[in-house]
Amino acid sequence: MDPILRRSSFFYVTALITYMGLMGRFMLTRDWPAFEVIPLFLPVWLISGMAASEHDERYAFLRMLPVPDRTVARTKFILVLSFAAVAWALMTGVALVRMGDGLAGSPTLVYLTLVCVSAILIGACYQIGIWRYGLSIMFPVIGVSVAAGLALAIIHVANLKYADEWPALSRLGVVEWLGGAPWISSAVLIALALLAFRALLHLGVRVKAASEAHL
Amino acid sequence: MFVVLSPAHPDPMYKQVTDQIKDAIASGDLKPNDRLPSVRELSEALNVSAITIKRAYQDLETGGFVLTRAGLGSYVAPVERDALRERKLAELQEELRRLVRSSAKFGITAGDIVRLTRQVEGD
Amino acid sequence: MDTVLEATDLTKHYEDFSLRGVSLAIRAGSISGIFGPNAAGKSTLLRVLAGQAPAHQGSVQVFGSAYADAEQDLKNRIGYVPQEPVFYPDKTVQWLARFAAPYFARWDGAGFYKLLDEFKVNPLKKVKHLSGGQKTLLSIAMALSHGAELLILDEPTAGLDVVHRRALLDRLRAFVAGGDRTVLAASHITDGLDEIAEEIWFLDDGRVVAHEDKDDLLARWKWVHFKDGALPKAIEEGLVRVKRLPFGSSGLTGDFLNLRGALAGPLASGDVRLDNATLEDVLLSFIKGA
Repeated sequence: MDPILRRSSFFYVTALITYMGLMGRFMLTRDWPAFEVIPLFLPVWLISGMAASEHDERYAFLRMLPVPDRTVARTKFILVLSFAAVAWALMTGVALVRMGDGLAGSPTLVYLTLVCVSAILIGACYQIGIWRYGLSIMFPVIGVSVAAGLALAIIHVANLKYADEWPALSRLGVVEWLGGAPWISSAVLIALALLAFRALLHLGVRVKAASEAHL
Repeated sequence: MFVVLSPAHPDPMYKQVTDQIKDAIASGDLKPNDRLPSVRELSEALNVSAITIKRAYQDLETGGFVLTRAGLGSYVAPVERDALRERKLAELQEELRRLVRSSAKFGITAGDIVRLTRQVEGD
Repeated sequence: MDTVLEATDLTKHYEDFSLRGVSLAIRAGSISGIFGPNAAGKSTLLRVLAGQAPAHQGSVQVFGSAYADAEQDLKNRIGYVPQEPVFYPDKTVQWLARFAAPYFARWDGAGFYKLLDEFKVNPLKKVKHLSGGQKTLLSIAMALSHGAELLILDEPTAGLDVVHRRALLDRLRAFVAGGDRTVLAASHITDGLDEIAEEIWFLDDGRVVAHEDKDDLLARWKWVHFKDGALPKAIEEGLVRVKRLPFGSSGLTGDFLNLRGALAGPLASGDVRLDNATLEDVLLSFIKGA
């Protein structure tokens, strides 16, 4: 495997395993609102894994190797994509299992897709941010984002439990509507997201090439 | 007196000082009984340590060019021009020996060198 | 002769510093030295020339190609040694070699370890436990182990002890022997590099202020030591870095070859003496405010 990919993937794999192990298992064992809440932590886990990977990265060293910036950028984007793709596959698998109990429905599948495609777009943006502004600026941004994300997720959980009127994201009108044809909806969402992701990749390559490798 | 030191010169600093003062004496710039600058004065002027100047002055004294009177300073010794001339001739002999030998490789005789000397003298 | 590297009008702006319209051409088989004070832009220039950072304006062509078109090929043929080499700190030297090797078309593992042995760098040590000089030696070892034809080095002798410095200078000379490999090095201490460089570039404040063959340069720059009044006025006024001392004055001239005739008289009478100038002397006369 490509050495850059191998080195960085350690952090993403670790992030994924801890995510699924710590949080994902609740989707298997608990009742609703597990499927509502657990996926909300996914983007937070992704950018935490990215922060750990980038903190350890040495672009100045990579620049000396005969590896074009284009390739480095693509490798990093593949990691983001893979993280979300594997998470999506695992969570969808668990959802299909729980459909038997009636704890997950078709809208759940769409909801999971929405969360995962958001994650890849969010991840791409943060990665580009790191190349553009450097880790010294992005680290606190990521820190704040993670804290905010966790806080929002926790607030959401609390409100779901105690406020009867509090809307569940996975039961929003549009999600329910798309849930009418969950696989088709998911496919379309994924296709759209991949197009956007590719556009972000082009941008990312340009940003990386112009960066000073001062990370 | 004209003394300027060069760091790039093959000779050590103290020897440059000694040689240049000898030149000044020989050329008449420094006359017998002229007072040389004090060790401190010269070391400050040339931006070198006093130890270097002291050594130079000691060498000059050993060579008989300079007399040091305690408390009064160093003075040019009443050395005769002839004595200086003799010493310069001895140095010259060494240099000529080398010159004659290396020129001989090119087929240049002592006669050629004498002719050249007269030419240069005329310039 | 072939030009292996050509830079045209390189311009790069930072907050507090700029490279301004730097142009240079490096001949194949030569050892070229870029000298200048701190903050002259040597590191920035070298980074642009080695494809480590983009220029805002201007172009760089190495072996006839631009980095945008042939980055992989060029980086295979160039060995770059930065001023402060960066490696993954928690990894061993051996790990780094295994990491980098697949990317190079002509990685020479045996050669690399042989160099490490000569440089006394332990391959099993983690990068964070290496001294600054050892990191430089590691960087040099990597640069020499992938069949590079052009070495670009940024202050390679800084941080090296006297033995390793001498060994490096000898190695650089050996590297170019044969005419098909080239060395371009930058230093602000003219300490060793000036010995082996054949072509000299002076950089000050982001600009090239001089470029000359080293021998030509040292032939025309001399120190003139003179008794006050011994020099013709015109010559005295043309001297730079003049020092007036109680027992004689000194000044630097860059025009010695043309002044030789006029100086013959005063030289013969002993009122004027000449001395060789060092590269540092000449550089100081080019630097503003030196």
